[in-house]
Amino acid sequence: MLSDYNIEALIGGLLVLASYLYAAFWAFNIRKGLTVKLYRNQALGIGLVAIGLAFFAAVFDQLIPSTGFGSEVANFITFALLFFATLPLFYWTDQSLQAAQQSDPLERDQFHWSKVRKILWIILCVGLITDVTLDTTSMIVCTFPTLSSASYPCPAPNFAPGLFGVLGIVFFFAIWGIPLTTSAILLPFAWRRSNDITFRRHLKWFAIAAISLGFSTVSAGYLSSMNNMISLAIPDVLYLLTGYFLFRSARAVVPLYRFKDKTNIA
Amino acid sequence: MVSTGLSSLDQLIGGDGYPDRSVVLAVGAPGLGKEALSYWFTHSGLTQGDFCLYVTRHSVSEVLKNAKAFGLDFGSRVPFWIARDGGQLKSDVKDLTSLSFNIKEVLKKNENRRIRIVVDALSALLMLYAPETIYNFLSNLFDDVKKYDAVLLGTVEDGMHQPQTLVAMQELFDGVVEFRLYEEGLRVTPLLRIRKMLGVQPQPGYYSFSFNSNGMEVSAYVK
Repeated sequence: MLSDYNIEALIGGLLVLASYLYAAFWAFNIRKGLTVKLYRNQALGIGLVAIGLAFFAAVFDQLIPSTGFGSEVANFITFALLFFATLPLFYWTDQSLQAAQQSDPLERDQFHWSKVRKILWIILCVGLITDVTLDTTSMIVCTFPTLSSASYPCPAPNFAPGLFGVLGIVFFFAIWGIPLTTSAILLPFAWRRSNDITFRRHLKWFAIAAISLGFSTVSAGYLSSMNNMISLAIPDVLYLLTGYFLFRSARAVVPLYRFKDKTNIA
Repeated sequence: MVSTGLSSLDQLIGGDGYPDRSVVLAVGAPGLGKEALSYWFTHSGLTQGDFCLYVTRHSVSEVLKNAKAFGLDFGSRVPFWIARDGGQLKSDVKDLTSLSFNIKEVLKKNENRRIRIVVDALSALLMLYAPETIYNFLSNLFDDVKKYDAVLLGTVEDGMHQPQTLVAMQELFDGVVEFRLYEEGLRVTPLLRIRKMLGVQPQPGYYSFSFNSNGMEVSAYVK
């Protein structure tokens, strides 16, 4: 039997999840209407970011069985998926920077992005493969304790001493650091150089969504110890707001029009 | 009349394409495919032996690559390029006087031929200069179009500029082809319509469109 607390958590989690998925739906919907690859990719990117955030929301709201189940396999799946959730952010940043170059009247290749992007993609992919390999090893070793030893301790070797530990930490930060820093540092420059009102609106809503997400996560952390309805409701409302801002960002990829009257139709 | 290069669009306009000595504007959000109109217009002109002038802020290789994405290969027949790189003349959007002079000179040298002009740099110009400066630049250019046997097709991005600028631009041109993304409930549809076309009676209403290697397919949009 679920308690009122659990029911509220479940409803809140589902609403948050739905809001992110709705933002993704609009991004994919707009993508279908576009013809040019770059802008289709940009819409795809924001849709994938929304799906990634929906996954985060589902994990944090315990809608997806994760670390709470205590299984190494569940841990592995959760962490592997969380790592892959950073890929969409980088993909969207990459496409947005290319779109920004197109809307810059002087077509400036800011920070030599056309070249730098290739190097960053390689680092990111190598980082992902390495980290997933380390996590897979960890999962196998920790699922079968007889394999565990002093030189290969449990839990995860990511944070263990030695070469594996160092590699794990470096790649862990590469996977999170590259998408987060490139989006946080380069996109404001892109915003400044582009005079495209629609592109600026798209970035503005995304920035508000990112700030709101950070604020929601911090508040959820502070309130988590309280264990009451309000401590659940406040972060969920903030996460819902994030979903709304993301939805506004997804819809701002291109201008959308509505028919004002039926006489316009052929 | 000068064929647009797309039979479906020719029919929508009223039969044979853009009116002689007219200036036409294709307006649409980035990504909707309005550039394809420029590619097909130029391709058709080259096939018919017209002199084609393509003014772009991009490099020639970029334009050719984009045209290829729409299934168009210019092959050995290429227009006269005023482009950032790879063209006969360099386009520098920061130097409007030179750009205007270069266009005038090229048109003058080819005054005995039928001329097609594509200007794919209007949004960049509108971002760099006061709108009034661009209206003046266009007015001078339009005088040349009327003087010679020319047709000009310009493209401008929707959503990039202030609405009043876009309205004023549409007023300047003889014809306007509009590409927009419309939402109805949860559905998003790209539609085009001929907003106006001087001297001809275009088909009214909105049309769904899609591009393929043979051109553009349009069908009347029914709600």
